[in-house]
Formats: sequence, structure tokens, C-alpha cells
Amino acid sequence: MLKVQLNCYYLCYIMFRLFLLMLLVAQLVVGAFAAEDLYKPAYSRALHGVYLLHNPDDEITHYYLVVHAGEADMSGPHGLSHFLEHLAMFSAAHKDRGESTIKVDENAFAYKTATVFFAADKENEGPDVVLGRLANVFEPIHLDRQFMREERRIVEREFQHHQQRYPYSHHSDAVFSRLLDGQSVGRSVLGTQESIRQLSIDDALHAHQKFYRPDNASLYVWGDVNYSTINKLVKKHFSIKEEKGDRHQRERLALGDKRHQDEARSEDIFRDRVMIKKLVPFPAQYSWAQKMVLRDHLHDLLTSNGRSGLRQPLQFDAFWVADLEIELDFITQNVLALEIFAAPDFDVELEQLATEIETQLSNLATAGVSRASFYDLKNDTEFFYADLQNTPGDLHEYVFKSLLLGVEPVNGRDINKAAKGLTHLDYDAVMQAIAAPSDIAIRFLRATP
Amino acid sequence: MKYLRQLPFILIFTFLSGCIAVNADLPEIKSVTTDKGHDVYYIPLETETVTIHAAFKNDYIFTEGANPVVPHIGLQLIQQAGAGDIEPATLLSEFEDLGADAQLHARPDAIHGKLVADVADIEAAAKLANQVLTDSTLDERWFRRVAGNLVEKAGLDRNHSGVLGWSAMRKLSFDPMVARFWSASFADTQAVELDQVKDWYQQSFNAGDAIIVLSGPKDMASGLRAVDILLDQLDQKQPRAVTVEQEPFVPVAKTILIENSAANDALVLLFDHVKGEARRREFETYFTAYELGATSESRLHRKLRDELRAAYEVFTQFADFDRQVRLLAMGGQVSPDQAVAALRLASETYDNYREQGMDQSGFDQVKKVYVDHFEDILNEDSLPPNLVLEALLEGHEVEFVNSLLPTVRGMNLMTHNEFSAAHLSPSDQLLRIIVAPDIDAIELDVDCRVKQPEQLAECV
Repeated sequence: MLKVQLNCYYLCYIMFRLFLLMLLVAQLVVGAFAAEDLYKPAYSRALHGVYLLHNPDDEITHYYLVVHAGEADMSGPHGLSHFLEHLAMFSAAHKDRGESTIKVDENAFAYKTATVFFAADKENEGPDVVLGRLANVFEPIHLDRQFMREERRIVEREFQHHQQRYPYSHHSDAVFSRLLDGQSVGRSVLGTQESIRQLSIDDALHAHQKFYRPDNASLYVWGDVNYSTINKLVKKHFSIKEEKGDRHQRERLALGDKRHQDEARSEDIFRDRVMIKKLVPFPAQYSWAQKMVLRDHLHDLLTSNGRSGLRQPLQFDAFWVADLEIELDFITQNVLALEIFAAPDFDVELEQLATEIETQLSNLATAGVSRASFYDLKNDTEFFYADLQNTPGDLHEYVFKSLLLGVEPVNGRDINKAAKGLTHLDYDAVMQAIAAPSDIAIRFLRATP
Repeated sequence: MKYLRQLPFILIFTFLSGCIAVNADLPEIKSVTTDKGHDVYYIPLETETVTIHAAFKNDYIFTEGANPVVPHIGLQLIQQAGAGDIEPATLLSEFEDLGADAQLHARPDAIHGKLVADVADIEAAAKLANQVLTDSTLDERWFRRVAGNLVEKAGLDRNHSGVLGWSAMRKLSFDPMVARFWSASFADTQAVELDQVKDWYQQSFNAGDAIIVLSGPKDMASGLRAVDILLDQLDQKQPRAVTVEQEPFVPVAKTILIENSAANDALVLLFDHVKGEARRREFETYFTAYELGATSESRLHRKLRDELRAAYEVFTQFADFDRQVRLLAMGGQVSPDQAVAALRLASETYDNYREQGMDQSGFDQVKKVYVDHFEDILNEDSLPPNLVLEALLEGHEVEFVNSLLPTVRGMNLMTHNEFSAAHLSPSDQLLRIIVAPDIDAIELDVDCRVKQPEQLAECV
């Protein structure tokens, strides 16, 4: 009887092992199929998300630790998230005045809605070392105060460096801030010289304590990745050591149709220019994958030299603008920012130019996206989207953009499916949204002779 | 007997090595004459894309009455204005419709062009490009627009410390016309007239002086026809005689302060002239530039950023201006009150590198970067035509490109360190420049202080 019972236990044990083995095989099969696409393991309890993008052609593995807190989550003088990013990176790398002991190319970037800590393992230090260092971002900052004050001066150097390279950037920040009308997304990541000098070390440490926590961050690894190794190392390095309460929730962006207009005179600039920034609520019916495809295509249309863009009516058919820059991109998951920066052509007044730009935007919406333009775009990008799941370099752009905005990244197959399903009516709908009345800020920049 | 057992492994290894050696061969570069008699170099690849690189010899800046900014404005103008009976907007959108990429840029001795399109579209793209080169409308309003944009850029550059520092270096050591060509000053840009551009256009893009290198499918027919279409009628262009002899480059070893009251920060710059043996071994200088300043672990970065805590970032660069002038440039933007200390520390760091050289692990790391780079771009599937073009312009045979990867692979620590000690100038023989908002506040023993641009002439 005992023997039978033992045999039964043994059989159960064997079946359980077989079941585990089947699970493992299933995971390997799924992994193999997913190997060329974005892979989202379901096992991370500590981190908000873990994403793996297999790129067998890349000898170097890239690691991105995305903390879902940026300048929009800070308070006080602008530029705090950037200062904090500097402190957290130095502290995590245990690199104050000394030499780094390992050869990992590390860097960090602050954005409005996220802060990214990046490492490229060029010398094959291995994921254990790299993830261990990245995980240090969540440890308390252990730099001495003098070092942190010096680092604030270096942040000021970075600001000055940026100013020299992009002389219009502080105007751009000011217009954006005005457009957002006091909302946190309008805060400037870089700040100003004055705001940087006012940054408090204690505020930075407090923000670190509040926002830098594994459950408010995602890990994204891109390269020739060993899935099971990453799985183990995530468990090893990322755990919640301290209960910090619920994750921080950012306020939803409030939109309207306010119109801001101002004027600035500057000795820094050489000729008059107009800067227009507009918030565009994305029509609600679209998925994130559809939104990303529509954004890409409408950006191409608006900036193209063809009939569907703004250049034809403003620059080629007529002499309104001498120089025209157009950008269309997400500032949150549901809101696009359209930015136009233009120098008028000869004998054109700034006010006339601003009016003409708005008129031409409206005309584009009225005319709609032509069938020809739509099918051209579809045909030109069909292969790109169809192959996205096998092209990690291209898919990476979408994954990274999603993580910066705190949106769940979408795999290549779903983006392809979204691209296939869109019709020219969808393009018209978004073009109409771009031209429809919504919050807009216009600055007339006048050069001081 | 013992060795006989290993024979199969040796045979397999030999076979695999043979495969690797064959695979490592670069694509053949064929010397071909087109139907219309143009001599070109063709690189056949497994591709459906044709890439044509052309260098049109151009001595315009050394001709009578030349304004050296004219080529910059002229090239932008012909790429934006119409050509023949094609309207400007149509020209650009036709290139777009073909999915073709067309680019032109000027260097002091040649105008470089690149045309890329699918093999099915390359002839149509070449026809459009040919109209740009032979029959641009050079429209007055488009000229004013293009010139206005460049005047705006030159106006903004007057406040840019980097532009001021590099312009000063060029003014002190380059041929005057070459210096003005690269600096594109506000005064020169503002002075350009449409007639000068028309004159330049008449004497530019002569087919007789052109060097053409293209890559494309193994069936060369379309690519070669595209070259004939591209160069059609360009033999009628008339280059004018050179009237100004180019002055030799004279390296200047001085320490100079330049005032830029528009800046808040100071910029520290150091320049070494790559000359003599160093010109024949330029990879050694690339290695030096990488080790000194390419990454956040580089020597200058560690010294100026991590130790002195003065700079956000540093740079080093192998600056390749023309056939005569090559420089190792280094520097960083620092707080004005740390400029003197930063210059001193950068000079010491550079001298230390020159005297002590690299260690083996540092050398191996830099070498790997360059070997990886060349393996990436030079293999059995890839040989960029512009590398061949540059080799020809340097006076080499086309086979020179085959030696690039073996040259880098063959470099070693001992010869590199010997090279650094022998061929890098000591820091007191460099041209050292600080651009700062208030140079009176800087206490430093210098050769000259420049508060107004014209005072730079006194530094020579």
C-alpha cells in the first residue's frame, strides 16, 4: 500500500516536473517567436515594467532605466529634475572625484515626463554589473554637499552650452510655459541661469526620495539579450526595500482654446521671427499604436515639400517665409504639440505671417489629406511597418518614445496592424484636430538693430 | 601519429580560415569608361541602390575678386531655386517622389555631390540633378531668401564663443581665402551679390575635372547611364584661371585671450598641427583624440569634469580642413573663473599623454573602436564610394582603401606611444585660446589680448 502511495507521489512528482519542463519549452518557444519583437515578461513585481528588445546584430547591449518622473513632477525653480538626474547618476556610479572602475558608457537624460539612466555595455562587463549600477539610482544619494554644489555649477555650464548652441531655446521654453498656462508640463527641463542658481540640494534629495523608486520605473534592455539572465537579475537587483505608499499620479493636462500672444525684443537675435506653439488634443478613438503611426505620417505631410504640407503655400507658391521649421510631437499620450518657427520673407510683417500660417493650417484641414498623398504614404511605409517586428533599430524608437511618456510600449506586430487599419478618413480627422481651435501661444521675436 | 590525430581539426580550421579570409575581401573597384567617355570607378555590390559620389575640382576662391562665401550661398541657392522649366517646389518634390537623396557641399578645392536612388529611378534622379548643375534659374528672390538665412546665421555666430575661437585659429594660421571660406563671416556673407553667384555657377561643375565614384548593382548599365546623364553638357562649364596663390599653412604657437561680452561662460581651446610623419600616420592622431576626449572616461573629461569640476563636457577632434591643414583640436566650455586652471590642467593632461602614452588596456579599447568601425563599413558587402573618392583626392590609388583596416589592425602600443612622444607638439608649442566674457579679469601670461576682431592681426 505504501509502495503504491509512494509510486503515486513519484508519478505526481514526475508529472509536475514534466509540466515545468513543458512550461519552460513553451516559454522558450514563445521567446523564440518574440525574439525579434518587443518582449514583456510578466514576472517583475518590483519594477513598473520590464521590456526586452532582442537585437542579435548588436554586439553592445543597451540598458535604459526609465524613472517615470520628470520636470513636470517637480516644484520650485525650474531645472530641478535635471539637477537631480546629475546627482543620482554620480551617486549610482559611485563616481565623485574618482575614476570609474568599470568601462560602461553611462549617461542620463531628464525630460518633462521621465528621467532616463542609460548604460551601453561596450566592454562586456555583463548585465549583472550594469544592472547593479543602474539599480543604485534608487539608493539614497551619498554625495557630499560640496560636490553637489559644484555639480549645480556644472548644470549651469550645461545650460550655457545649450544657450550658445541654440540661441532661441529660452524663447521656446518661455512660449511653451505660457501655452501650458501654469500647468506642470510647461516647466522647463533646462531652466534658466537664475532658476538653476536657486535650485536647492534638499529639494533635489526630497524629490529623489519621493519619485525614485523601482515601482515608479521601467527597465528596458535592447541588444543581444539573454532573457532568463535578465529575469534573474531583475529579481536580484530591483526590489522594493521601503514602503513609500501609492505611486505618484501626475495631473491630467487641462486643455481649452486660449490664445496667448506676446512680443519680445532681443539683442541676441539677428532678424525678426515668429514662434507659434499649439496644443492638439488627439481624437480619443485611437489606440496608442494608431496614434504613433498617425503622428509620424502627419508630421511627414506637414513638413513635406508636396501639396499636403505647409511649405508649398508659405514658401514655394508664395513668398511668405524665408525659413520655416515645423515640429509635431506628443507631449503626453493624448496631446500633440505643434511648433512652428518662421522668419518672414522680404516685405512681410510678423503679424501677417502668423495670420497666414494659421490660415494655411486651416486650409489643410478643410481640403483634407488627399487620396494620392494618403496612398503614397501607405505605399512608402508599408514595408517599414510590416518589417518592424524584425527591425529592432526602428522598433526601438517607438518603445523609447512610449516609455518617455509613461505609456505601455507596443510591439511591432501591433504597430503594423494599426498602420494597416487606418484609412484616409483617420488622417483627415487628425488633420482637422490640428487645425481646430485649441490652446495656442504666439511670440513675435523682434531683433534689436 | 600524435599530429595525424589533429589533422582533421587542422584541415577544418584551415578551411574555415580560408572562408573568413575570402569573406573579408572588399568588393572590387572597377575602372570603367561610360558610353560618353567619362572615366569612373564603379563598386559592384549586392544592392538595388545606386550611390554616386562626385568631386568637381573648384578653385573659385583663388580667382580674381572671389568672395569665398559665394560657394556656400550658391550651392544652397541651386538646390532650392528651380532649374530649367521646373519650378522650385516641383524640383524638390520630384526628388522626393523618386525617393532620391541629393546633396551638395563645398570644400576649398572641390564641390562634393552625392546622389542616391533606387536603380529604377537613378537615371530620372540624375536628369533632375543635371538640370540643377547646368540650368539653375538662380532666381533673384530665392537668392535674397537663401542669402538672408545665411546672413542671419553669420549674425548669430558673432556671439558664439566657439565660432570666435575657431575663426581666430583659422585667421592666424590658414591661407586668408581658405580662412574666410571656412569662417563665412557676417561681413563676407552680407557682401555676396547675385552676379557673383552667377559668375561662380558658370565656372563650377566642370565635367573634365570631375572624379566620379559610384556603387550599385553588379549590372552596371543603369549606374553608368546615370553618370552620363548627370554630366551631360557639363564639359561646357569654363573654370577661370587661378590668380591668387594659396599661402602655405603656418602653425602658430601662441596663447591668446579673446573677449566675447555676449557669452556667460569661457571657452578653452588648444590646437596642434598634424604635420610631417603625422600626416602619413593619421590614425595615430585619431587614437590620441579618442583617448583624450571622446568619452566620459577620457583623460580630459576626467580632469576637467571630474577633478577640476569646471566643464560640463570636453571635446577633442581631428579637424580635417583641406589637403594642407589637419589639426588635433581640444577644449571645453568652463566657468570664467576656472578658465586659467582649465587651460593649465588641459595642457598638463595633454603633455602627460604625449610623454607617457597609453597603457595596454586603454590602447586596446581605442583600437577596438576603430577596428569595429572599419569592419562595419569595409567588408565584402560594403565599401562606401566616398572613402574611395577621398583616397583619390589625397593622391592615393583606389587600392588605398584596402589598406585601411589592416593598417588599424596592425597598430600597436609601443609604436603609438613612440609616435606620441615624437610627433605631438609640447603644449607650449600649441595654439591656445581662451574666449571669455571679460578678459581683463583673467590673469594669465599671454601673447595677445583681443577685445575687437581687428586686434587679432596684431597677434601674428
